[in-house]
Amino acid sequence: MKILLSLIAVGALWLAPIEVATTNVWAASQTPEQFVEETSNKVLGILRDKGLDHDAKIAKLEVMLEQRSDFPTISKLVLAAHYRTFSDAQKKEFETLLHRYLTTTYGKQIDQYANETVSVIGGRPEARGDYTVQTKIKRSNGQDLMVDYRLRQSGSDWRLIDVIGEGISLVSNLRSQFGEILTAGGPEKLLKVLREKNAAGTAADLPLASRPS
Amino acid sequence: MSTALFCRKTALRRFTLALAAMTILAGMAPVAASADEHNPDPWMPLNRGIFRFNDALDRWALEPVAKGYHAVVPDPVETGISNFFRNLWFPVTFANCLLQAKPHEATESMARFIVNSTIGLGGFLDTATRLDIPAPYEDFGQTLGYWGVPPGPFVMLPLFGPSNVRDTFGRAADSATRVWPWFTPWWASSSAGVLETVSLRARFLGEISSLRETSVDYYAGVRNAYLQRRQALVEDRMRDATATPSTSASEDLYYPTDEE
Repeated sequence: MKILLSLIAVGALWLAPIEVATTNVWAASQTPEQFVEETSNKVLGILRDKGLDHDAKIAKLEVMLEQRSDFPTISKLVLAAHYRTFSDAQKKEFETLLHRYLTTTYGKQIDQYANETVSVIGGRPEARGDYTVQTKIKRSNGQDLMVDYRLRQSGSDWRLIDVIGEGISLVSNLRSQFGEILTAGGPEKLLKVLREKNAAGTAADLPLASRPS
Repeated sequence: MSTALFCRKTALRRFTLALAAMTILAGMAPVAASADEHNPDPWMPLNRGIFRFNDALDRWALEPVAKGYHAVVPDPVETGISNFFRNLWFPVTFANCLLQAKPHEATESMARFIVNSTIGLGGFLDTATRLDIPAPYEDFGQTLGYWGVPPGPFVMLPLFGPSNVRDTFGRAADSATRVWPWFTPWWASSSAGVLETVSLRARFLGEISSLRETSVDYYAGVRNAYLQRRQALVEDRMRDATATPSTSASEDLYYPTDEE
């Protein structure tokens, strides 16, 4: 029972971080904690903006995600050893598809997080220059979520490279999901699967509305 | 009187059973360790088959029932039932806090149980959370991991879902240490088990269906999430977030080498 529970937590956790992670701020003097805090507030601002419909919110978040995460690095981490087998054109397409995939699939869930509060509870420098900011999402149902953001410096700015919800790294999870497809069918197969997923993802929303508790 | 005696006997037998499971597990540890880091899932073909079976069963039976339950039962009652069952896991949490030498967490779980069982009207209200009493989450699988037992190969259990060799033993021990079934006739505890399962499933209707829809490889996604989550729980990474250094394994994730 508890095992099911923990597994399931994953589903929820995955979604929560993504939309919070979608912003970035340009101030070089900002600490990683400030960066994440401001990010969360901006995202929640968009989610709570009554003047925007669902699609407009997604579009706005998508732009932020584009500018403020390090997609080339994320792609490299997700593809790991398979990265070398991609041609430059395939790498470019993969980046675009991955970006779309994250926003369309997880974007569907964002509305249910509009009323949560996010607080930064700590941070730590990692061994090789990255920085992890730890946050807690206080959910209205009392089940708090621990969400970590992994940042990497790009020039003088911090960029998001991973989201870890309740101990589950999104990068690691995607790497594992893509790995067997790549082993079996190579880059073209993965690109095809993602194209199809994205097309299906934009066609219709999931029929089942997530409940708040 | 005689029933009480009988129950005590059953309790003893279950305890012996749990001990036996531990012994077997200790013997199996070397075998379990043979699942190396590069392939945590040597039994994948079988596991994938079982996963398909579980998923079909969920789509055709559990999920529809949970949807019906969610539609019919008023939300506060649903939350109450879910709280009630969570409160009943106290003996397992408490025992495993002690087994991991964590008196502070043990006290917290005890405090939660006392508060929720009394002011919380038998566990239906989660008053403890409202009072900001932390909810430790420990089970026997984590206890084994805490003392260095390796997870072993990934296992997809029929009906129960994702696990690994270590957590499969842990699960058996947990279910033996819940205490309340010792004093409950089998038909009542099975009915309660069904209600608990439906209630739990109903809490995650949206999450599971979206995970199912969005995954590129649902099985691999579930497996990876399970293994990461259990590892994080064993290392108590969610517990004291500010004090957790990353392990070298997780650092490798962010600096992939060509050899991988």
